[in-house]
Amino acid sequence: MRRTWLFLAMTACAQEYDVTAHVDVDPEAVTECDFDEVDGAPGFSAYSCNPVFTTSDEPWAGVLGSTTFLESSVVQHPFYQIWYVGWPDADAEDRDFQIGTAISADGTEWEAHGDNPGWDKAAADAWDGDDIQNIKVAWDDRTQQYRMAYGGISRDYFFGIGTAASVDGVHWVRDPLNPALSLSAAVGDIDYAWPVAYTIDDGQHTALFAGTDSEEGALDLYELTADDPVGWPLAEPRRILEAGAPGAFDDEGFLDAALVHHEGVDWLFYIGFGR
Amino acid sequence: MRLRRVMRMLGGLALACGGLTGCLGPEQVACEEACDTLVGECGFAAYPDRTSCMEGCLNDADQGAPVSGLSTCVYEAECDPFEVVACSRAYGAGEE
Repeated sequence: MRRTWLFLAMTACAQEYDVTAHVDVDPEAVTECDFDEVDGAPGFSAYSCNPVFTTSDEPWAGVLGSTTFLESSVVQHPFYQIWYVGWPDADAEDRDFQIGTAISADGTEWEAHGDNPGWDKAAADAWDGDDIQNIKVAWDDRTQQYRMAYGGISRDYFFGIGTAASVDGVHWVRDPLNPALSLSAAVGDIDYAWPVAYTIDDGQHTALFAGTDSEEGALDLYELTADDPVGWPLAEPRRILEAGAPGAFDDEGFLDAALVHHEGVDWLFYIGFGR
Repeated sequence: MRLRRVMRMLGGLALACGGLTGCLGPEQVACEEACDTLVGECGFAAYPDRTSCMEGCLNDADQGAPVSGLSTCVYEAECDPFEVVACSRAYGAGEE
């Protein structure tokens, strides 16, 4: 009898789960198709059933423009959110653009939000009334809201960077102090071209911009950090990466980038372009 | 809805008291409930299986995440993935 009780007690207290630093999910374990190694890119695999997102079948988003992604961990398993600029018709002269969001639990099957689109478009003659490009979304843990940085274009071809905030990631409110940064004139000694990444860490808003400090120069990568995006013009720019050497694939600079923190190391993945 | 909730609470109580030594802590009970919802009820593809969900949840608990609040929140999210992510941002580890 004593042995039986001891056995029961041991099973009841047995450690059933492996409590480690972090769960590492193999994408192939949660997706329908396989992943294939990418030629010339050691360590990278591509989903064999790509593309996973073309349009969302929403009438306002027949054509997609700029997109951006954010990963969110739910008990250490990634969910993915996408934000996309869309407009109904590719042939329309005037882009009636809106912004929507969709979510996926595996990165391949996407569900658009029922309240899309949640972007209150600016007036036609506003600084960002003609088009929106290069949207980037980050989560601000301090204020518990999403923030978006975007490139805005006016009908008179003024280019600037604006920001917006959203509690739910769907309905956005543009910052009344926009544009936070001009792209039509040099700021300090640097002509910024477009934003390529945006993160918020401990209340600090950091953006990476493609920009140049010379008239014919290639676009290097600059980092601006401030308490708020409106502080970017006054922030000390830090050139974190130069465009590639002449002849390299990235000798003209950078189009887009993603920052990844993995096992204590910050990684920068970028899309470069060349002559 | 209320009956479901009472049944769920009784289930959690049974889990906590099921072991003869009563060694299931509140975090483990909360994680069991959260993974019942995320994997069992909602079937989110993010989780290869229930064990993986439990390990992630207990890791979060080990790092101080309020998994009890998370469990209640994901239950009330009724399998809406947008709401589930909002729960994680409010109660979990959030963005990686």
